[in-house]
Amino acid sequence: MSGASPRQAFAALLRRDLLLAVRNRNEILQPLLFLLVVVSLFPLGLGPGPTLLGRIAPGVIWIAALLASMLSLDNLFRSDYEDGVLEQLIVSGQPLTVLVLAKMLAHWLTAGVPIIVLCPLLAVWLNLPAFALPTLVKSLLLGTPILTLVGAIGAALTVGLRQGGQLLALLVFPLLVPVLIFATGAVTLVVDGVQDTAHLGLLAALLMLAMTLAPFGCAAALKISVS
Amino acid sequence: MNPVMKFIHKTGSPAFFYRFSGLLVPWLWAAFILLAGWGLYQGLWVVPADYLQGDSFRIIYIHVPSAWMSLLIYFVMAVLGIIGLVWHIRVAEILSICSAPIGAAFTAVALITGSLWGRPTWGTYWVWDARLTSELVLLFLYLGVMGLYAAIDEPRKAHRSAALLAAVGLVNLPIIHYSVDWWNTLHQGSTVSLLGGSKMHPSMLIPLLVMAVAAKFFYGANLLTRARNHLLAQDFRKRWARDALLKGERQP
Amino acid sequence: MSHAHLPFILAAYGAFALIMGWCALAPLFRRSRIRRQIEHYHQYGNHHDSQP
Repeated sequence: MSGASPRQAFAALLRRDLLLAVRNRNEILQPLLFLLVVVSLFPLGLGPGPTLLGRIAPGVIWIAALLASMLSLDNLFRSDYEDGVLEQLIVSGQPLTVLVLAKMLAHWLTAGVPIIVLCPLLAVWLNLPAFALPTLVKSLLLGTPILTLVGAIGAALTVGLRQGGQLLALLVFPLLVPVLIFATGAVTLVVDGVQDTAHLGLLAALLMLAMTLAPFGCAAALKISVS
Repeated sequence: MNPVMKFIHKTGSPAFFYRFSGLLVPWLWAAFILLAGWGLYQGLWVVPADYLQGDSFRIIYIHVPSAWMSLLIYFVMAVLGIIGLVWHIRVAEILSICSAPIGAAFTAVALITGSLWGRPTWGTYWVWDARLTSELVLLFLYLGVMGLYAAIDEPRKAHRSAALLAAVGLVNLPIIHYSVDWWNTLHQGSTVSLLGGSKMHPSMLIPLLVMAVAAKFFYGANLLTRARNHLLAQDFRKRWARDALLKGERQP
Repeated sequence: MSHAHLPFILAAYGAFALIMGWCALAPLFRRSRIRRQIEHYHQYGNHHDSQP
C-alpha cells in the first residue's frame, strides 16, 4: 500500500474488518447470545423477586457486557496473527497507532454497538425501572468504547498465546474496575432519584484518557507480541 | 564519565551486577532483622493497648507497612519495567519481574491481616472498605503481570510484555484507587476505616515507621537474591555463571 | 494482653511470617536447582558461549 496516506490506510482497514465481521456473522452473534444467557442466569440463581432483580440489574447487565466483550476481544487480533496479516500491518510503514485505531473502531461497531442495543431489553427483563434506561444507554455508549480500547491492549499482549482468551480476561478485568464502578453507579443513582451527571462525566473523562493512550499502548504491545 | 554514570553502566554487566549485589545482600538482611526486631518488640510488648480497639490494633504493625510496600513495589516494578523496555537494559527488566512475587506477597499479607483485624473490630472477616478492596484489585494486577510473564515462552518477549502490562497497570492505579474510594462512600454512606478515629501517639507511630523502613530492606534483600538467581538461570551456559557459582562464593 | 483478641493477633502475625518467610526462602531452593544445572552443563566440557 505504498503511497497511501494514513487516512486511506485507516479507511481501508476499517472497511476490511467490517466486511469480515459481516461475513462471519457468527462471531457477532455468539457474544450476544452469551450476554443473554449470562443475564438469565441471575434470576435463575437468585430467585425471581422483582425488587431484588431491579436493584441488581445495572450491575448484572454491566458484568455480562464485560464478559461478552472479553469473548469478542479475543479474536480482535488472533485471526490476523494466524494468517500473517498482523505482521504485514506492523511492517507496512503506516503508523501502527492509526491502524490499531481502525481495528478498535471496527470492533466497537460490530461488538459494542450490538451490546448497547441489546442491553436495554435485558434491563427491562430484569425489572430495571424505565426511567433509568436512558442512563443505562448513556453509560453503555461511554463505557463500551473503553472496554474495546483497554481490552485491545490485553488482546495484543495475549495474541498467539495458548490460553490467550482466559488470560486476556484476567489481565483486563482489574483495569476495567473503574468503568464498572462509574457505569453501574450512574444507573443506580438514577434509580435512587439522584443525578447521574457526575458519574457519566467521570466515565467520559475515562473515555478521553483511553482514546488518547490506548492506541499507543496497543501498538507497543503488538510490536512486542509479534516480534 | 562521572563516577555515578560509570557505576550504572557497570551494573549492566551481568557478572558485575551479580558480584556487587551479592556483597550488598547480607547487609540488607542485617538491617532488616535489626529494624524489624526492634519494631516488632515495641509493637507487640512495649506499646500499650489501644483505648478503643484493645490489643488487636497491634496488627497495624504488619498490615500498614505491607500495604505501603504493595503500592511502592508496584510502582518500582512498573518504572524498572519501563526503563528496561525503553532503554533495553537487561538488569532493569530482571529487577522488574523479580519484584512481582514480592509485591504480591506483601499484598496478600495486607489483605489477610486486614481481614483478621476486621474480625474483632467489625465482627466480620471481610469488609468491602476502600483500602481492602483496592488491595484486592492490586493483587489481581500483580497476578496478571506474573501470569502473563509465565505464559510466554520466549524470555525477551516475556519480559517486555510483562513490563508493558505493569506500565498500563501503573497508569490505571490512581484511577482504580479513586474509583474504589468513590464506590465505597457511595455504597456505605460513612467512611469505614480500620484505623478509625484514633490519632496515633508518637510511641505508637514510631514502631510503625520503623517497620515500614524494615520492610524496604526486606524488599531490597529479597529482590537482589531473586534477581541473581534469575540472571544465573538465564545465563547458565555462560562462562561468567560457571565462574561465579563454582569459584565458590563466600555468601550463601 | 486481651485474651479475646489473641487468636487474631497470632493468626495475623503467623500469616505474615509464613508468607514473607516463604518469599524469603523460595529463592534459596531455586538456587540449588540452578547450581545443579550449571554444574551439570559445565561438567561435560561444554563449549562455553563466546561471550563471557
